[in-house]
Amino acid sequence: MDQNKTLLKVTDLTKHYDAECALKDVSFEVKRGEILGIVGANGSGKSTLLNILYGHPVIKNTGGYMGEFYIEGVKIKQNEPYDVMKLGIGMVHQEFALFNELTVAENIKLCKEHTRSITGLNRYQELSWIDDEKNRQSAEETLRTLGISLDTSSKIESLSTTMKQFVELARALNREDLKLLILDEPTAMLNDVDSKILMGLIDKVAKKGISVIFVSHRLEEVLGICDSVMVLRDGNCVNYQKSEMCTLKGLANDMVGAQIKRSEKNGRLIDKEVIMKFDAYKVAYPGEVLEELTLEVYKNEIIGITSLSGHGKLAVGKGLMDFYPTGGRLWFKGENITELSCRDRFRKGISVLCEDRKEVGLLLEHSIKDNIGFTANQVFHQYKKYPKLKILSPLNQKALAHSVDSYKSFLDIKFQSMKQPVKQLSGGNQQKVALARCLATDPEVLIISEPTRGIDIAAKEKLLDYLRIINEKNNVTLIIASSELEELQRLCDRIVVLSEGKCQAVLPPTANSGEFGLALSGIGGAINND
Amino acid sequence: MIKKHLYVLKSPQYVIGLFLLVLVIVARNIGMDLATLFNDSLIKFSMNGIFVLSLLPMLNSGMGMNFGMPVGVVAGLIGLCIAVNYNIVGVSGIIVSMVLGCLVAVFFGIVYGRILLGVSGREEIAGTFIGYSFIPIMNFFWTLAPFSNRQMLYPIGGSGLRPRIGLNAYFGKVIDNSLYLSIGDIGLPMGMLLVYVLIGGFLIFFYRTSIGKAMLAVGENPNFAKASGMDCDRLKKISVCFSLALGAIGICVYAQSFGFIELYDAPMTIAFPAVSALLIGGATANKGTVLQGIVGTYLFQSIYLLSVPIANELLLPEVSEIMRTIIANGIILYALLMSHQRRNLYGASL
Repeated sequence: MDQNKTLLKVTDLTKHYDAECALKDVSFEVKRGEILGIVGANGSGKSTLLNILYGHPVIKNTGGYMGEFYIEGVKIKQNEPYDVMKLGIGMVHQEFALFNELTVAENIKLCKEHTRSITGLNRYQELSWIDDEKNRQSAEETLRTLGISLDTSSKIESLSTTMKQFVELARALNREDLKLLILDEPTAMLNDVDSKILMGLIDKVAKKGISVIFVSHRLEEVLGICDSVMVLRDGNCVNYQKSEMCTLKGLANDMVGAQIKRSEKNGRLIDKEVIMKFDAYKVAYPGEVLEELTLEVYKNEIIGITSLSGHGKLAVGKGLMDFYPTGGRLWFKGENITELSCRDRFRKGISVLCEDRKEVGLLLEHSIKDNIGFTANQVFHQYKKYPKLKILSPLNQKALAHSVDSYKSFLDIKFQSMKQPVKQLSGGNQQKVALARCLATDPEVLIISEPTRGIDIAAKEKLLDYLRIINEKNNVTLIIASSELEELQRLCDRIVVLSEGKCQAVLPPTANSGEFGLALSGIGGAINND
Repeated sequence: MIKKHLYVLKSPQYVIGLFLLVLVIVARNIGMDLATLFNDSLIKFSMNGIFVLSLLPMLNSGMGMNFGMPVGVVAGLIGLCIAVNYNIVGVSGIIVSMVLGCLVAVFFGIVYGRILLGVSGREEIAGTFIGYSFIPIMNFFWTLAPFSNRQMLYPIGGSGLRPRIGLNAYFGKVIDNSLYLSIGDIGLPMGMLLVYVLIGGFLIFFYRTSIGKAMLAVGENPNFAKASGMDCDRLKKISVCFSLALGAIGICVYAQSFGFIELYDAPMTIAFPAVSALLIGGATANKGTVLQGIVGTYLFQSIYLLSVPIANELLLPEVSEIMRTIIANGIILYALLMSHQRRNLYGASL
């Protein structure tokens, strides 16, 4: 087989989501039997690239893309995943796309079943009798080439995570015309040993002349098996070369980018008075599991928590709000608050603002006034007209209007009337309303997840400034979980980097991008508590 | 500038309003007395209005329409039967029935609420079946309960309650006749309207209080409520008790106006006209206001009232019952379709 023949060539791929540029002029090519690694942090454009490649409907619905694809020199257009499949491209998704109720063989042969032809007609094929025996043999054959022994008649739900991943792979491989295999974070759910086995399998596949596009955040794996590596950052291709030329540190650096602005908080002195302590804190937030976090938070400090998506940074806020089962212990001012309910934690002075503000942070149909006053009214009995009536007291609209006005000028919230429903506001203003709701409870510790998600750049800057003011003037200790490392570096006194749900490193904001990159990928990083 | 409309008429109200107008014109042309019809419509309106309002607490706490309304109604019937059993007459009779009915309703509500929490998200269908299965259970109760007033018992055998107990000797029409105002041909049952306004007013006040706001929040976004430290389950249970208690008051008002306590299978389908009325008023599948309940009740009950004699006159006699069923259930279907379309539109815009 001609190993040097180009299989897939992509030129000047550009994709905009509304005004936001997700991919810009990305070009690359994959030769037969070549393994191309694609590396990038959150929001770097990896998923967009894969979606375009695989003809995901979301691309078409958001206005298509620019750029050209050639397979073996022929220009192609992806409209639907089915078209792409016919071209000989197979994809293994990050989340399992298997049917739990069907057997291994049925899953592997889905949509390409062998059938018994009785009439010999070509019509009504979808009504023809499925040849279970032949399907089983074919599935077993594929599994055997992968070196896996598995009973093909067992149901998917009875398999382990690793086996499911292998079945996914087998399903993509179970076809004669497969030319290109796309793997999206195939090792994300696997442990080290199983990852190594999978790596071996991928290598085997490539040796047979099938090209592979391998997307992962585990830099070691990428360097280990890929022939060439492309690094994406903010939609741009920042590095694209043979993997022999790359180093682990170099890749990490490219991934995060040398965008360190001097931290304005550098060298700020913080009294080491512990206000809150996480002791082996665990949160079972599906898809974002926090395995273990041990951390002492000092009074008046701003602490950042970052990780790649799915590695646990968002679990802290969710866990504190009792959304998911938690483990370990929590201390607040020397008091054990593990067993307290979310309401009692509010009363102690711990306020949480989650990343999904439309689902959790706001009542979209209610007015701005109702939103801002809600928690303070319900939990702290503020804004009550006749406090003696307790829960049956109507709201003191005057006092509430007064505080809404003060938050309006403090946070510069733009609205026409405070009786306007929150859903009419822009993302930035909604976030400010949600923030005002938390501030109305007068918290001592405020945990914010993804404070700037879905907010335009100008509003972002302002919001970050307000967070700093809240910290300095109101003496609120902030814990900010964000995937925007640059924001954290500007704001925080210390940054905790999580990897696979565990604390990988605690770094000062001045640490260089290489250190962050390595820690995010779960490699280096020292626990530095200064 | 954003204007806050107190009440916005939408296409369902126009369609039904137009239909009502056509009925009025037809009624006039076939020589029916419009003043009497108007007087009757007011009575029907205030008789049924409380049932419609009783749907609101559960609806606004995110538990959907209370198709299990028979549970609350049965509680009210128990209250009524106890008052009759001890020969409490006049206004005190109706008040005693209401108070006892509410107490029983709260007790039922605790159990009913617990079941509904277990089927979270499918409260409506569960409520329907709880209502259906609760009635046969209560049929045992009606035959076996130790009531002793001979007027209530089967004349032969002397045990077990009659299916219909006349109230005229006790407190039949006490509210209907109190504060009755006659202006020419038109009579205004001010007593009935006053009770209705009091209950509506209390609900409006309730949704301005802390606990009312908390319930609205649970209904709109349970995750938000939970994140603000609310005990969603407890709030939902309270709203169930509240709904059932209003249902119990509703049947007391209804029975005194109707003049009879109707037991056994009578409350079986009581929820459907009420749900239709609220949906006509413009309530969605997860939120409704007092005003929507009032407008809906008037439109719906008036159509009921007019369509029956007109259908009997123009079409076959006895077609009215068929018409009622078609109207009540058809409107529920229509409103469900509308709300589903709205949800789809909302989903697409996300």
